[in-house]
Amino acid sequence: MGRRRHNFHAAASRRNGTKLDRMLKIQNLSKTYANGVRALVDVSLEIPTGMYGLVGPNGAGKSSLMRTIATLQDPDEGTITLDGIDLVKNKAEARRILGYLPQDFGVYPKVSAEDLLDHLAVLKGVVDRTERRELVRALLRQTNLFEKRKKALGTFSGGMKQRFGIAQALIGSPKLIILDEPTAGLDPSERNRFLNYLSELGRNIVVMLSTHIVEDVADLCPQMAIINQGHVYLDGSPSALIDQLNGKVWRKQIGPHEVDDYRKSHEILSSRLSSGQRVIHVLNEGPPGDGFSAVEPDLHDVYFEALSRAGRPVDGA
Amino acid sequence: MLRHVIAFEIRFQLRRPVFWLAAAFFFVAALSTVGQGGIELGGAANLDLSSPFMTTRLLMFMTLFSLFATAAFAAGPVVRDFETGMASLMFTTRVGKFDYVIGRFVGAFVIAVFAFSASLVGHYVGLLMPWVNPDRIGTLYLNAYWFPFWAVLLPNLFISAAVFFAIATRFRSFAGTYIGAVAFVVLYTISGGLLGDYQFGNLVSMIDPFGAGAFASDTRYWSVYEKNNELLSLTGSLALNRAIWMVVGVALLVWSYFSFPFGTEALEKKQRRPDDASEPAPDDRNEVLEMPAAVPEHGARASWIQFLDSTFWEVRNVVRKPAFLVILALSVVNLTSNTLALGGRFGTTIYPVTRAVLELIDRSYAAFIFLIILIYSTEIVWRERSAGISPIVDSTPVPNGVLLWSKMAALFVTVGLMLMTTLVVGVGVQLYRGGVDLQIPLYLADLFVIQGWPFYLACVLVVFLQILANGRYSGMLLALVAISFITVLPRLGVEHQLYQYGAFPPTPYSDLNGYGHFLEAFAWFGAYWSFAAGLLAIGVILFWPRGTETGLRQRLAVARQNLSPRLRWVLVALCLGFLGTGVFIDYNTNKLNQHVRLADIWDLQADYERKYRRFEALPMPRIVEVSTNVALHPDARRAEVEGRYILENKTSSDIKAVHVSLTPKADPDGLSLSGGRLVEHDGKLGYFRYDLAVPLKPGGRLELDFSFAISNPGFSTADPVSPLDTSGYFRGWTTEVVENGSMLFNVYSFPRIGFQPALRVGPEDERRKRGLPPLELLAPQDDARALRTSLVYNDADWVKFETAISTSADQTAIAPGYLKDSWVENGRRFFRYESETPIVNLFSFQSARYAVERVEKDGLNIEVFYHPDHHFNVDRMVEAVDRSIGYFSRNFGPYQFRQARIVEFPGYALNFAAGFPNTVPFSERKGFVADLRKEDDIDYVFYVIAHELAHQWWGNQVMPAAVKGASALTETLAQYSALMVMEEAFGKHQMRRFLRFELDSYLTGRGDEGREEFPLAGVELQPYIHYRKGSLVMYALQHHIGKEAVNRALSKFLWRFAFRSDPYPTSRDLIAALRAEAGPEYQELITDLWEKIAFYELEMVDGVYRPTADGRYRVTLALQAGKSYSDGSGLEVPADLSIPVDVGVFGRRSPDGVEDVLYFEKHLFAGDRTTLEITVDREPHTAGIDPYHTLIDRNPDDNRKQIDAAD
Repeated sequence: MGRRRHNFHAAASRRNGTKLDRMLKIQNLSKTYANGVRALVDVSLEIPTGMYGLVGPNGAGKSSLMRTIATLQDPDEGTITLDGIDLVKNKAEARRILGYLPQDFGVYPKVSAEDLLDHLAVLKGVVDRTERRELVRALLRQTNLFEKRKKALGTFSGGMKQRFGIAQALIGSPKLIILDEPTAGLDPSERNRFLNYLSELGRNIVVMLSTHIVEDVADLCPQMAIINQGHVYLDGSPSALIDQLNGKVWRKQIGPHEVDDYRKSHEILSSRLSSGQRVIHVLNEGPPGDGFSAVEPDLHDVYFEALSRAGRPVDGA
Repeated sequence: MLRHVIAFEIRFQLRRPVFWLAAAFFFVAALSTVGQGGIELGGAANLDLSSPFMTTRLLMFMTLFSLFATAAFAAGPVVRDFETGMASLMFTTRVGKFDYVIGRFVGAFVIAVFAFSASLVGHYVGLLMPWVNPDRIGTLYLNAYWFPFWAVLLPNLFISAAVFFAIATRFRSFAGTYIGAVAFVVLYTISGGLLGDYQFGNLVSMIDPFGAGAFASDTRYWSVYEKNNELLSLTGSLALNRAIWMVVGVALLVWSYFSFPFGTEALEKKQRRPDDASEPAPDDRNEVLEMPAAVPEHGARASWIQFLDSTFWEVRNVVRKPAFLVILALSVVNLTSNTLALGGRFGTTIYPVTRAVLELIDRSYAAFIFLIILIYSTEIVWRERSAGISPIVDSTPVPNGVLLWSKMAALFVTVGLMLMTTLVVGVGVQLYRGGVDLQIPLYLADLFVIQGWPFYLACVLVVFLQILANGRYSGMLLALVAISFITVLPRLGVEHQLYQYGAFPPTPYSDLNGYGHFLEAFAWFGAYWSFAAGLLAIGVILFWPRGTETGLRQRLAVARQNLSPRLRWVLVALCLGFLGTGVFIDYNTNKLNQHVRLADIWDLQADYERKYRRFEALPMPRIVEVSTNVALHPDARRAEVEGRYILENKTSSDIKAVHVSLTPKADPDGLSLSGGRLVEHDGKLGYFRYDLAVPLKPGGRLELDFSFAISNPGFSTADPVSPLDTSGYFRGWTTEVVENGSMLFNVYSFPRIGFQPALRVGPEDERRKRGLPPLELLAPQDDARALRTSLVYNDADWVKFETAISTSADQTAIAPGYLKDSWVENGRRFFRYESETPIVNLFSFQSARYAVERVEKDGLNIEVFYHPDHHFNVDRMVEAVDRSIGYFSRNFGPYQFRQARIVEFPGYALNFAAGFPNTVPFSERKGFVADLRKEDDIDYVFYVIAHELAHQWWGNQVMPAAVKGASALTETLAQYSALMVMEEAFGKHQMRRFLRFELDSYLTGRGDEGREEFPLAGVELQPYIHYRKGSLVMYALQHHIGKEAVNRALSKFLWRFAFRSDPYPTSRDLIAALRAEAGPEYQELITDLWEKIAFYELEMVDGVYRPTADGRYRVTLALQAGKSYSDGSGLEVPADLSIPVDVGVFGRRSPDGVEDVLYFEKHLFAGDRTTLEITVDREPHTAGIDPYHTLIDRNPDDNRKQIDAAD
């Protein structure tokens, strides 16, 4: 593939020192769509129990990867295994341990939340009527939809619909939960509540979530990967990834039209407005001087560093 | 901007496969319909395929199929933007509402026109196809395409597009458009159904939005000539129909425009007000609740519960949609209207017996169920994907099989609900009309098994095609194409049901015999097709669209993964089952029995004609005595037949050879001729040639013995066929012996002497294909040999007949002749019948479990043998027999028997009654269940019985020669005789109503003439002439010259020709007898009625009256009177109206309906227009020319009108 890839995973697990009782292994996964788009290029990841964040810009291949794990499409090459189960070859087995929240989904507008959840619970195998009823109610409570359970889904707001989607992903004690942009459409307090709940869940199972919001990952995920254009550019624990940049990120407040000038001389990680002033972060092994001040790197810097490498031409190409 | 919107819409739709599929469908459909005899389009062999009339009719019919395409085209533009969420973008662009709405509509309309125009091209290309008989392509008028294009295609598409556009605007979903489609179909079929009866005139023809009803009504009485040569213009009912529906279309379009949600209102309406406002404040407790332990189960039990739950879920989703309920309601309306008018004949209904209701459901409901299947298979298959929930459902562990089978089951349940509704409607109508027993088990069996099975099979096929096509509309169209293809397979030469998915052999139900032996074949085909459906279902499981893959390669890969070892075994088992049952069916239907292809039979008939016609003129001895012994075994569907003919040389020279035609299915070894040496036996055609060692002298006699067995091994696909159908000679045994209601005729089952002209190929198209010259059905009236040949039986004149017949102990067996003896032996019943006087050599052997009604009257024994449930009209039948025999013996001559019997038989293909010697076999469908409870309904049971009994005189006493005009002596005279008894029994008024039906049948019949219309005197067995026109002619004749004169003529004619055979009489003899009794002023009338094809145009144009000084009234009438003669094709030339015509003036009817005749005289008219002055005593009310419609006039309704007082 020719692109450099930093893998800090080994280091991370060593540091955590926990025994990984469950592991989702993705090996050399590639997928090219009929229209020629290469959605996944030789993706390999090892995802331990706990929350795992998949970060990348829109169109990076996050959803393709998640759909593939969720058995909705087959990779051209590569394998996905969870506890020794081949999720590609053995879809039936895979679906029994899977909870999936698609990025984009619809509902039956005239059906009530409770009815649809109940139906989905049946499809997931919760066939005992009493158990199912209990479960559906608990899930509705958990997602704060209990009061609205009799309402037609067509009347739900975006956030409520998203919470419904999360509720269904939790049916049937899945061992692997795949959440594609789960926080989209949630307001801050909902998001908070939800992420809390997830981290609770993630104590025993693999929870993989994709997002383009770095904070989601920073706050929650012990492990993460950054993906763009179908490639995994970085993976590991956020803190380890941040450590890599220690002492290499510098900050400066600049004039409104100076970005391009700085781009010529520096490797700009990010340029954003802070209280109306343009602030840039640059990557440099030593202090670049010129009014730059050292800054404690954060996950944003890691993210942008990865993306900027991704955007650069491959060495020697 | 409007132009851009239109252009965009057109370009957009042109890129969609649905457009190309639709265009291809219309092209192929039109192409394949041309010159194939037409599925629904009839079209006698004489109608030019290229005539404007034919193209217009075709296009109107095809509009029905355009509905689905138009729905997609017209609803798409409305729904698309809302479904894709593009609306918010579109409505904020600079496109105005007018441009947007009208532009989209016009674009859709244009696309529909493009697609449907392919049918015109298809039609033209069809004309060039090699299978089209070039003789049937007439002049190619531009009008043939131009008229249907602008008067049919454009308005129909506009109307349907406007309706769909409006519905889509209202519901903003595709589902709503189906309602529109079904409504169209309902209107079309209701209109078509009612128009079968002339009484529903123009009003009904307005109901049909496609104008087919109006067009049919406008051209109802067109002759073949007019149909071939008339250029069409928009007039009459069609013009009014188009105008009304265009107004409806425009109004809908305007309505759609104004109610089209545009701008912000649209988006608000769509998304409604989300419930956020009332949403409880998210609580900040970051509490993680304990989830109850709900361990998912997997395996058979879980799958079963998932299946039930999903099925229920799917059904609920179908049933709750208003579209389903509306479609159901529409189909119920359609069914109810049909059932209430459960048709008998002449406007009289029949009792709603369960069999009849079920047949009606079968006829009028199947289309709706197929529609429902087509629509809801699409809905159900696409439900998750349309809603966008498929990624969630697809990643659940539920097996593909559960998803598939629950959807399939939901479709089955949907079909079942429809069928259940028909049951409710049927039972409702039965209760409402009363008088019949409810047969719920029969309903259940017939609806859910016999009728239901093909529907279930269709469900599987349609779902399979949906999965294959993997696109909503392409799937629907693919299914439509597939179903149409299967329907036309028989016409492409694939006639065996084994090769038409979902096809079954016929399963006619008879009240006498139930489903009888037909059930066995049905069950085997049911198993066979179910295996096939199982294979399709495997295909569905393999290719079930789960996940997001749509590429062919990926889908194939997924299918390979889905093929689990278990599924592999199921696949193998299904294949074995399919092949196994297929082989078994093949063995039974093609080896043990013969699958009948009409084309094969025609081939055999053609061979027979080519090889043996040369012997037609060879002198043959005639049958003079027949004795038979028939042993029926109804349970085993077996019979043994033995018989002996005595043949006599009635010619004046020696006979050296005897030829015998015996149906090839009978045992040839059973045939032996005394003194004959078999020199040739053609086993395939059943032709035997014997040489006589000693030539047979004139008057000399021979014995021909025969014996054969009737057996029905295994099961067959054979349609029941009338025993009077010539093709029976070359077919296998069918319904001759059945469990209850056996009926064997001698005509094509027993040996015949010599070449049989009846076995020649009939239809001209088929003759041409086989290189045979045009058929001369009957010889000219001066053909010496034909004059010595009987019309109905060319190898016998009058015979002595006796037979023994035995059957099972619980049945009664009946044959012509008097019952001489009957006994029980070895658990079987034996009967011996013998005719005491010579009879026509036509006899039937019948056996069933009969109830018997016996009445003795003045030495006459009347017997009705009937199925015990069919007791409704037995008394009337007895009365009809009594009155008929009374009238005929008083007016024509004595009855030759002292007994008359009516014997019911199962109404398989044999919907008739026949006047056999002292015996009238009478179909269960012909009047046993006629509902005659209403006084003024025409009692057609009485009519049929009177007609058949009249044949005891006309046919069984006077037999015509086998020459042109022969059937006028049997059928026309039987019609006349029946009319006279009926008039005596029911009065003139009912006769006039009856004759109005006859007029309608005659005029429509001649428009479908496949050869040539002959005058009555030269009729060649054309039913619309010898029955229908015959009634009109004879009734007119007796009206004008008096019935005493006619009866006198007939009596003399009978006296002279009864039991004559050397020569047999012809229509010349009959006409001479009539002329002798008619006055000189009526000779011209007889010429017109009998020897010409004459049409009268009589009209009361205007009339006024004024009081005179002496208290009377002076009436001034302006009358139009003309006449024209038509040739055999319908080309007319005007002629002088040189016969006296009735003119009448009438006062108000009395309250009880009695007419007050003020003036009634005959007038001679010269020239077109005549003004008459008449003085009457009382105040007139109506007046008219030929007010009782005695003369054949295509507009009888303008003969008589109300007249007003002059100012």
